[in-house]
This record gives sequence, structure tokens and C-alpha cells, in this order.
Amino acid sequence: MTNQDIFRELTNITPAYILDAAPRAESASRRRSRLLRWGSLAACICLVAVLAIHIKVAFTPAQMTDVFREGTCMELTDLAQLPARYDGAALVEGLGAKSYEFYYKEGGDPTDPADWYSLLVSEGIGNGQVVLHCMFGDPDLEDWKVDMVFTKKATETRVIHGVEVQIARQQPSLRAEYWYYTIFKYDGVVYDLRTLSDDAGYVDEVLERMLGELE
Amino acid sequence: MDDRDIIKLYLARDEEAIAETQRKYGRYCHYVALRITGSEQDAEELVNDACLRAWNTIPPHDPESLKAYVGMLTRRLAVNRLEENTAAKRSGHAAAPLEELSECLPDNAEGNLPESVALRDSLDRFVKALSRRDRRVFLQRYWYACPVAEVAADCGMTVSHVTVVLLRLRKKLKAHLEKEGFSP
Repeated sequence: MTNQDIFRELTNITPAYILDAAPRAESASRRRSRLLRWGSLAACICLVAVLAIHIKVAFTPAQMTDVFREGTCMELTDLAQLPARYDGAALVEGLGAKSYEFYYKEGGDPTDPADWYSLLVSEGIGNGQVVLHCMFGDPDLEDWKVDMVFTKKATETRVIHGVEVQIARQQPSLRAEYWYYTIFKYDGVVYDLRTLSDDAGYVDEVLERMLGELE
Repeated sequence: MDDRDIIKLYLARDEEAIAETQRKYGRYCHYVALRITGSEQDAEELVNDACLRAWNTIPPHDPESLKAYVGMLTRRLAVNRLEENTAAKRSGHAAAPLEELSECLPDNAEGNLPESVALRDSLDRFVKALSRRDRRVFLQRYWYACPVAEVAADCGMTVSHVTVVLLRLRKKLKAHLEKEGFSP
């Protein structure tokens, strides 16, 4: 058996999984005939300068700190299974997730919060998709803030239940829904929450579920 | 036109079926082929070949999802083309995901040539057992041959998190294949 055999035989797995995993960028891929491509180019050339600025603003990727420490992973079905008490757990519980990934230092003691790296939730909740990274060890929030390089319009800072939350949005591709990126810090833990939904109010709903627990 | 109507055209041997398939799923098939071969020219040829293959195989086949069916036909043809191109020293976009999959080979598996059907079923069981998030990450990387950065953007994850998840999934797949008897 070779890696090519695995790559080849993956072709015929259950079709529903293939369709479910279809990248959203696929819907934005373009297949044009040469004639159409050149025709479009000629027709649009005078608009390029204006559009270029607009597209740059709209599609510049969010720049975020990307430090995901591997460590050892423990899969949990309930936050009560966390090896030690964690004060901010109520925020995560507010999401009502059914599975969690808990990462801690390789060879470290999972009952000692000093060895904790992160807690992750990634699942469909309500009418959308949530990816939440909780970074332990009192990281500097400034390192994690979203930086939309060419525009400040796409980011905003709101105070929700006394917590300052930075919110940004980004579209992976032209026809895809928006990902909302939010960053906030509470009790020494940085929360990197991302939501995907057709409903623009979904991010507020998720933030309310989490931060509403503080009251 | 919905899938069922297009399939009826195939079953009635109406050549409009090919044009409708191209119109509805040509872009999807092109995406699949382009990701694997990395060549625009190959991708365009493969989409036409896949539609022709659909014409030749429906009937007897009567797929539940036309999109999945032509996507699978396209991928199969694209993998063949990738192998031809690799033999001719022209590697495609899928070279990196393919290389990564060598980490999943069970130890001492060289020379062991299991039935492809058994491997296919085993891979299906592996994929089925994954969480939805892990399944999306795994299939986007190894079925669609997407770059890691694109998987990360699509799944709302950081690049390094996707890298870590893929590493864990490759280890899991290796253990799964060994458990299912793919190593001596």
C-alpha cells in the first residue's frame, strides 16, 4: 500500500461527506472561456483602478497571531471532565457545546493550570458554526487582536456586559457567508471566538450566550 | 433544472444532459480538477472527460447526487492525470497532501497490496467516525487537495491549528489502518 493508494481510494467515500466538506471558495472559483475572459477584461479595464481599492479593502485577510501550541490533546464531552477547576468555564458552558478539545503541555500535569495551553470548541450551535479557542496562561490580548490591514471599517470594539470585545468580519470568498472574528480577555484567558452564519446577528447571539453568564 | 431532471435526460439518452451537467456542475468539477492537477488546461479537459464519463455510465448508474457523482468522476480522472504528470516529473497542487499521506502508511506495509475495496471501506469508516469539523478539515486537505491556508480560512481556524489537527488526523488514520489489518 502506498500514499497514492490512500489518496486514490479516498475518491469513493460516502458522497454526503464529500459534499459537506466542499470548500466555500469553490463557489467563487471562476471558469470562463478565453473569449469571455478577454471580453470581460476589455469591458472592465476602466473600472480596475476603482475596484482594486475596493477589493483590497474587502478581501485583505485578517492578520491574527497564529500561535497554536500542539501539546497533548484530551477530548472531552463535558466541561466537568476538565482535570482542574477553571473559573471562566461558565462562559464556555453558555454555548452548550457537546465536545471540547483540551490541550496541555506535552508531558505536563493536566491538573495544573500552569501547564494548560488551550480549550477548543468547534461545532454547529444554533443556526451557525462556532470555533472558540480559549488561550490560557494570561496571554497579552494585544498579541491576539485582529488587524485588518487596509481598513479600520471592518473592525469595531464594543463593550458587552463590561467586557471589551473586538469584532471583525471577513468573507473567505465572494459568495461565501462572513466569518466574524471576536477577541476578548476575561480573567486571564484570551477568547478567540469565530462564528459563521447567514444571519449577521448570530455573532451577537453567541456573545450574549457567553458574556451574559457574567451577570 | 434539478438533479433528478438531468438524470432523467441521461436515462432518456438526451445529449442535453451533458450540457446541463456542465452548466450546473462544471465549475465545481473544474475546481476539483484544478486543485489536484494544478493545470488550467488539464482541468478543462478533465471536466469534459468527466461529463462524457457520466454519459457513458448513467445508465446503468442512477446516482442519488449528481454533483457528488460527477465530482467523484472528475477526481478519479484528475488523480490518474496527476499520476501521469508525476511520472513525467510534472507535479500538481496535490503533491504536498499526497506526500503527507505517506505518514499514514502502516509500519512495514511495503509490499502489502490489499484489495482496493477493503481500503476504500476502511477509509470510509475512518471518515465516518470523525467529528464534522475534523472531517471537513481532512477532506478539504486530502479529497479536495486544498492548501492549508485555504482550509483554515474556510473553517475559521488558524493555519497552525489546522496543521496540528491534520497531524493528529494522520496519526489517527495510521492507527486506524493498522487496527484494520493493513499492516502485516
